[in-house]
Amino acid sequence: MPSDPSQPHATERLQDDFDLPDNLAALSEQLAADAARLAERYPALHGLHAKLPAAQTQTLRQRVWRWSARAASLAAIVAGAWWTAGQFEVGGDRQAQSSARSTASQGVHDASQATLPSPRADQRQFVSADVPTSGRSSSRDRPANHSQAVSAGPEDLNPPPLRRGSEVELLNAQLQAYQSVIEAMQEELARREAQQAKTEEQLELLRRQVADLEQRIERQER
Amino acid sequence: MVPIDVQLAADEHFERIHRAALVLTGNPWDADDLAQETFLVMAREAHRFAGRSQVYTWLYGIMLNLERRRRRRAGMSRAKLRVLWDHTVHRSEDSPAAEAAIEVDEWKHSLWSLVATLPDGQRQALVLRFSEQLSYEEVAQALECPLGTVKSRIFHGLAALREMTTLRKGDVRHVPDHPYEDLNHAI
Repeated sequence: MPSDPSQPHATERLQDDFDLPDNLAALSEQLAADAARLAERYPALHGLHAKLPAAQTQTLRQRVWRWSARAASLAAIVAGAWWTAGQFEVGGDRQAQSSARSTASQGVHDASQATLPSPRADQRQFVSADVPTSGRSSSRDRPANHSQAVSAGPEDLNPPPLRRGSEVELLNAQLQAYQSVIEAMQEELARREAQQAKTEEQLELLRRQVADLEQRIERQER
Repeated sequence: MVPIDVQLAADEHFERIHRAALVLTGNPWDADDLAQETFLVMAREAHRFAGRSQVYTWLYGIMLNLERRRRRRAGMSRAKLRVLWDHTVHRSEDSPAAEAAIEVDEWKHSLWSLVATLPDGQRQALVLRFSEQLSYEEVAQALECPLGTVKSRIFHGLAALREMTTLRKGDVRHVPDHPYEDLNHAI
């Protein structure tokens, strides 16, 4: 292993265990020289870049957006299930039915909205507005007997797929989990953005210092 | 599994990974991204490092995989764009940095721009050997292939490169001394 990985190695190493014809060896030396020149001209800004993982922030932003979209579509499924339950209820609470319907329409609206915003949009607002939480409140209004409900419903000629109560609960639990993941990611994103802003300030300071130094050098040269 | 000190590994190896990325991509911006991405992957996958090779050969392997994926993605998006717009600007097709307006002049005039047109295996072997100056065994570890394959790739890569340089010498092109020279001609 070389002692200093950042330094160009001795060119003798190029010839160690594989005899290249002269013309190819010359080419290999030129390659090494070109690489060294490039590295010298564009050194890695490790100090700054280690503190400013822009790519990581970007990835996180995309992940928040993806999870938000998933949560919104899941909300639509849950709301759809409640709507279905409300549709086939016999003599159920009218108010609960209308609330389930409004949740459903909100969920479908959210699902369609979920594909619209760009990953760079403000996710905080997007998530809080798009994930309905009222679906669980009408659990007492679920039909006790689905077969009875279906037979009594007016749309039984072409009924939408009916979900069992346990499945709805599971989806609700999943939705809650997604929400908590999104919240955690948003917090992390905010933290990273604050860190990025701080590093940009440092960078600006450094730029000013460089400009100042350049001016001084100019003055001295005069 | 061998635990890796992520911070220490980044401190020790960032520069060499960045250098290899610079040689491969042809511009410092892409090199920055690629090097950072490599260390992000390392931080995420550190528990998978088995310790069979050096940390830096493992990092080279990660970086080369990421770079290959990037090239493929860039190629795919370029192909999609071609379908949408038949009218495209003529440029060197296989160069990874050809899309970026901010290419490095030095890179374009160096042999590495020709290396960029070689097949993946040869290109990667040449970078590890002649830019990073790893031993053949280390190159074989990073590329996860037999030693003989590495030697063969390097030999054929160099031979192809020699052919290309011969062709380039024959094809004498006028390189403007100053960026505005072409503009003056046009006026």
